Formats: sequence, structure tokens, C-alpha cells
Amino acid sequence: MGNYGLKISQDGYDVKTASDTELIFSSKFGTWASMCVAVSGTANGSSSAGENIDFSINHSLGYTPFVLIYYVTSDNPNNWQWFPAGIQSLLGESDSPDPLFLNIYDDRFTLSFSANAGESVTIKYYLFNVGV
Amino acid sequence: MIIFYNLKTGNIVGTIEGRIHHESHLKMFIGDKKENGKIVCQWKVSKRWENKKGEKFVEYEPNHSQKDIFINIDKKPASIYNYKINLKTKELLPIPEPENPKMQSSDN
Repeated sequence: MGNYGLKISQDGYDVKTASDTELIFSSKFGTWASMCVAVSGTANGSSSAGENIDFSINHSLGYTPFVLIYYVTSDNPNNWQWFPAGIQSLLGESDSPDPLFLNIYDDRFTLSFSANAGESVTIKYYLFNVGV
Repeated sequence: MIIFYNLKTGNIVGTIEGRIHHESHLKMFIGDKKENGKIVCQWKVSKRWENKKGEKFVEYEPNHSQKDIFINIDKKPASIYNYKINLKTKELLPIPEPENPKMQSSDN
């Protein structure tokens, strides 16, 4: 079988002679090595009367994507945290608003925070080109 | 960048990042379609040139009347929440200091 596929080299390297470590992408690396962000963005919500802050983002990717989410709260606006904030969240020790749940579907994802009145949260989301 | 905003208040509720948006991005929506509107800012080619080696280069800029603001937001995406939407002109309006959440960017 011949040598075929797709390669992209780093800036300054000739793609025809570059070693694997000098490549940004090669189809021979397989699915996981070519995992990349399909779409990213932000969302912002606030709680006026102590109700949960809910987010619903329709992505239309047609598959249930790997999702990575960070968030920052109005309580601690300089501290970006990973959603759902791991053990701190389970123990109820994370900054308020507290992350509650994340549901991912093939057409949307939803997540929710419990919050006190007047609090707000900003999320940063990354949806990958690989499904779960 | 695609911006989603509340149709009653002009508050920005979410974004999709990027400079060139194709159909899959344009189909996306944040929140309820009855409550939120969207503004799409695509980037366009502003300059093309070729160096002595024959390598070709292309430079892009936001295709929008507020292109300087969009260039800054491209560098610090969360700074979008320092703005709201003017519901008449659909332009970005800086939020006055006392109301401004001053959310810090994750620098990515």
C-alpha cells in the first residue's frame, strides 16, 4: 500500500520532510491525536431573585460532543474554575454560584448553577470534534 | 464572533467565538429564540501580499463598523460582558463602570 494521508507541518518546517514532532497534524496519528475544538464561546447569566442560573446552548453538531467548561463567578471574578469544580463542588465549598449539572445531547447542552440573588456567572465552553 | 443578546434589555447572554462562521455555527443558538437575538460579525480579507520567496499571506479584519472593539474582544473573549447591545442600532455599548462586572478574560 502506498504512502498516503494528510499532514500539516509547524511553521518553518517543510511538510514533505518534517518528523512527527514537527507536525501540527497527521492523519496517521488517529482520532484522538486529531481531536480539536469544533466550536467555542461564552455565556453569561445572573440570578435576580435567588433562582438557579440555567444555560441552554444549541450546537447543531449532530453528535454528542466532548465538552470542556470553565466558569467564573461574580463572587470571585478573577478565578476561572473547571466545571463542575470537582470535590470542592461536592463538599459545597466552591464559590457561589455553585455548579449543579451538565447534560450533553447531540443537538444541545444544558448546565445549571444554584445561586443567591444578585449573583452572576460567566462560562467558557469548548465543544470538540470527537463524540463521547 | 456571534453575539446573543436579550431582546428586551440588550444584555449579552452568550457568544460563539471565531472569525469566519459557516453554517454549523450559524445554526447554533444560546438560550430561548423568543427571548434572545443574535448579531453575526464575520471577518473579511483586508490585505493580501506575497514575499520574495513567493509565499502568500492574507490579513483579516472584522467586517463591522465597530471593528476595533471586535479586535479587542477577539483577544479577550470574556470582555464582551463589559458591553451591552443598543437595541435600536444593534451596536455594542460599553457598560458604565458601576454596573460593569469587569469579568477577567481567561486569555485564550
